[in-house]
Amino acid sequence: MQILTLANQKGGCGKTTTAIHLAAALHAAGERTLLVDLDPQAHATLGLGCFVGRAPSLVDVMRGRVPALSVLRELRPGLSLLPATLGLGEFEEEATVSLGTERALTAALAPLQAEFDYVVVDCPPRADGILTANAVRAATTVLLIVETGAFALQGALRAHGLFEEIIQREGRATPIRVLATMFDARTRFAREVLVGMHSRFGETMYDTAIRSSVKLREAVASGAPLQWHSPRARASTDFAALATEVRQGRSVSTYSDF
Amino acid sequence: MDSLALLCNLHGDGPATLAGLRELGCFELSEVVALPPASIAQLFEGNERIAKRFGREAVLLADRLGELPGLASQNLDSPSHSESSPAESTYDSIEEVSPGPDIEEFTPGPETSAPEVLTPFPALSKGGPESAARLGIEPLPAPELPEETPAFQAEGANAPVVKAVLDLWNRLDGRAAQPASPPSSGLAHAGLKGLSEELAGKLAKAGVESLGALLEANVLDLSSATGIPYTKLAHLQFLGRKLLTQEQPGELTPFERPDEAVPESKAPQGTPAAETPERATSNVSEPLVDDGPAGPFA
Repeated sequence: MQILTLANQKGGCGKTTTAIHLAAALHAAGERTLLVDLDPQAHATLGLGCFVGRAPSLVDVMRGRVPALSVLRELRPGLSLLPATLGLGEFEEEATVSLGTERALTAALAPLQAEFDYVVVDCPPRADGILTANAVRAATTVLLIVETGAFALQGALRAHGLFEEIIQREGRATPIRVLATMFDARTRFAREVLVGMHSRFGETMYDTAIRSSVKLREAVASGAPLQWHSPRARASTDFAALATEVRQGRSVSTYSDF
Repeated sequence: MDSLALLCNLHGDGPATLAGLRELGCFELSEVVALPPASIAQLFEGNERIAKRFGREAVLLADRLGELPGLASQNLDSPSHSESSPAESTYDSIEEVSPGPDIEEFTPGPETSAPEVLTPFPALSKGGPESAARLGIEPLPAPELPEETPAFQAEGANAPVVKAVLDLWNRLDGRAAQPASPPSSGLAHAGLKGLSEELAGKLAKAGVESLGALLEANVLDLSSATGIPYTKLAHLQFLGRKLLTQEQPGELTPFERPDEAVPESKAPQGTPAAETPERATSNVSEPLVDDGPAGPFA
C-alpha cells in the first residue's frame, strides 16, 4: 500500500482539489484507492458530497476508539473515504499533552494494508502541526503541492525543510515530490514561476503541472470529482497523467540542496 | 520535471503534447530542436505556425537551461524556427521568452533604485514661483531683475523718487520686500508632522524646497528620486494641503459672497437634530428603553 501525503504550509494552493482528483484518477486507473481527509475543515469530505454529522470519523480512529474499517465511506467500488470532522482540531490540541500522538495515523491505517493499493492523505494547511506530522510519518511519498503564484517558492522551501526534518528524525528515506498546481500558461508570471520551480526542484518535480481550471472548482463544489462527469476535460487529463506518473513511481533522490 | 515536460507545460498542451513528443521518439529538448516543424505540427493538429513557435521556444528554453548553450543564437536564424509574422500570439516575441530575471528577483529588495546623483525635481520648473505665490505660501526668492528694470535706472539722479514709488507699489501690492527664508529650512519649518530635518534635506536635494513645490510634486517620481516611501510623501502632501486650508480660514468660495450670505434669522427651519448641538445632546441623554430579548420588533 502506497501512502501519498499531500501537504504544504500554505492554504489555498490546491491540496484538497488535488487530493480528490488524484484519488479519482488512481481509481479510474484501476487502483483500489482510499482518500483520507486529515483537514479539520473537512473540505475533501464535503467535496465528495459526504456529511458526517455525529457519526464516527477519522478522529475517532486516530484516538483508537473505533477501527478504520467501520468508519470508511465507500464512494464507488474501489474508492473510499475516511471522513473528517471538526474534532480533528481538538485532536491537535490534545496532542500537546498526550504521548504517541504523532504516530496515530500510521496505527490507524495499518489494518487497511491489504484493502487498498493507494492511500491519498489530504493535510491541513500548516506544515508544523501534529496532523501534518502524522501524515508525513505515515507516508511512503510526500507530495509538496505548490501553487504557481506569488510567494510559492518561499513557502515551498520552508515546508520542504520541515518535511525533510521529520523524515530524517524518523530515520527514513521517504521521497518528497513537488507538484505544481494552478498553472496558467497564459501569464508570463506563472511561466516564470514554473521555470523557477524546475530550476530549484529539478527531478523531484512531477512532469505534470496541474493547470488552473474553473471546472475543477465547479466539480468540488458539486460534490463529485471532475473525472466522473467530464473525463475528457483538460483538467481530467492532467490528473490522469499525474496518476500515471505516481503509478510508475519513478525512483528519485530527495531534494536537499536548500 | 524534465525539461521536455517543462516545455510542454509552458508552451504546449501539457501531458498531451508530452505524450505526443515521446511517441515521436523525443525524450530531450535537443531532440525537439532537431525535429522538422512538419513533425511538430502533427502534435498541434497540423498548425505549422504553432509548431514553429514551439520549436523556437524549445531552442530558447534549452539555451536558458544551459542544455545547449549558444544554440539560440544559431538556431533562431534558421528558417525552420524563425517567425514570419510578428504578431502571431501574445507571447511570441523573443523578448518575452528571452532569459529573464530569476524568480528570486520577484521579491522586493531594499530601496536601491534611487539615482546616485539627484537632479532638481521637475515639479519646480513646471510650477515655478508663481504657483507657490498663488497658493499663498512661503515666498520663493525674488527673481533677479533684468538690467532694463527701474531698479537699474534708480542709480541715477532720480534714484530717491524711483525708490519711493517702488516702495509704494510694493506696499499697495502687499508684497513688501521680505527676507526670503532659506530654501533648505523652509520645508523643515513648515510645521508638517513627521517631516524631519533629514527628510527635508532629502527633499531639498531633489529640488523640493517649499511647501508649494511639495504639493505640486508627483509623489511617485519624488519617491523614486529621494528614496522616501510613497505613502510617507502622500501623507506629507495631505498634511500640507490641510495646513494651507487652515491658514486661509477667511477665504470664501465663489458661491459664498458676503452680500449673498443668508442671515441667521432666515435660516431654514427644521434643521436635523444631529446638526444642532443641543438637540444632539438631548437625544443622547434620553433614557434607553429595554425592548426585551426580542428587541423592538417583538
